[in-house]
Amino acid sequence: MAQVKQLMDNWLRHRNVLEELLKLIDDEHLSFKPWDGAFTLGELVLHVVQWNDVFVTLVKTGEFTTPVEMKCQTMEEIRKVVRQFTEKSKATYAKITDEDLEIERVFALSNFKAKGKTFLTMMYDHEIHHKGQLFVYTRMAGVKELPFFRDFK
Amino acid sequence: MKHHALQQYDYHVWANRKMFNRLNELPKDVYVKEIQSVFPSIAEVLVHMYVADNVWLGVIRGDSFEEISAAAGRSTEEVKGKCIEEIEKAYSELAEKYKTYLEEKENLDESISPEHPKFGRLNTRISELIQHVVNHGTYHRGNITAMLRQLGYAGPPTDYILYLYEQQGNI
Repeated sequence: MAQVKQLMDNWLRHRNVLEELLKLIDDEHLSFKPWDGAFTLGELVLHVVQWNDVFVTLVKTGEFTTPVEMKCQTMEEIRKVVRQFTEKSKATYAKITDEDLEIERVFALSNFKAKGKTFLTMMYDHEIHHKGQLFVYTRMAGVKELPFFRDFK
Repeated sequence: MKHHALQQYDYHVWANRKMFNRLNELPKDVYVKEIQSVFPSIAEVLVHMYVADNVWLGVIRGDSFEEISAAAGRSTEEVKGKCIEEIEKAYSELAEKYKTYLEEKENLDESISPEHPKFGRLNTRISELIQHVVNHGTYHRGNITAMLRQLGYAGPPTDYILYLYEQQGNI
């Protein structure tokens, strides 16, 4: 379990920053869309937490279910949804064993096959990459003081 | 089997190359144009990433804080205000330094304890620091893709899964 715990701790250090970032954003920016065809700010946040839960569930159970479309009307709602997904993903992550990391799983959307640990790396990379985009959204929305990209506490 | 840290570093180099390939396709002023974002321009992000990667290479090699500080200053001078071709060349040379060091290192899980005058001693492993270098790059490549969109251009896809697809010969 040592390997899984370290992976989860590293991921949570990034998720914590996402939650901190969301506290800085007001409701007026929820639908902020910096360019045509982009995710709105709210959609980008939901994309991260919903898909990363798909990855973690896939590694633990082998089940692949695409996320259900969600709509949030306020930042408070978004923060609540993020917290719920964090708790759900954390609970599933905590059940993953080092043996699960070696089991081959299938990402059904593209029939991509890889070991559980590869999907957890993908999930981690996905979280950080989109956070990089979200920081730009937040800065464009006028927030000047942004947290560091990783929680070092 | 290749150590996970080596594969991750290889992904980092691949993703940076994708980024440069895309930037090279765009008008020259895109790269230096000032915008309201997390950095004043894409060039500034690339300078920051280059300096940070140099700093971490020094940490991984066990250089002293003074040596690393001096190297940070030198690496800033190397790339600040330079054209994209020169920055790309500097990135390639740095990647070679990393690869040489990492391939010669027998134990990438070796424990190290770098000391920082403000933050104190950090007990970690070389592989952990490599992972940090890669994550730092992933975060800033995310910045750049969004900044490119701010400037009216699509960014390059650099997802880890695309790297894996390429490695498997699927694309």
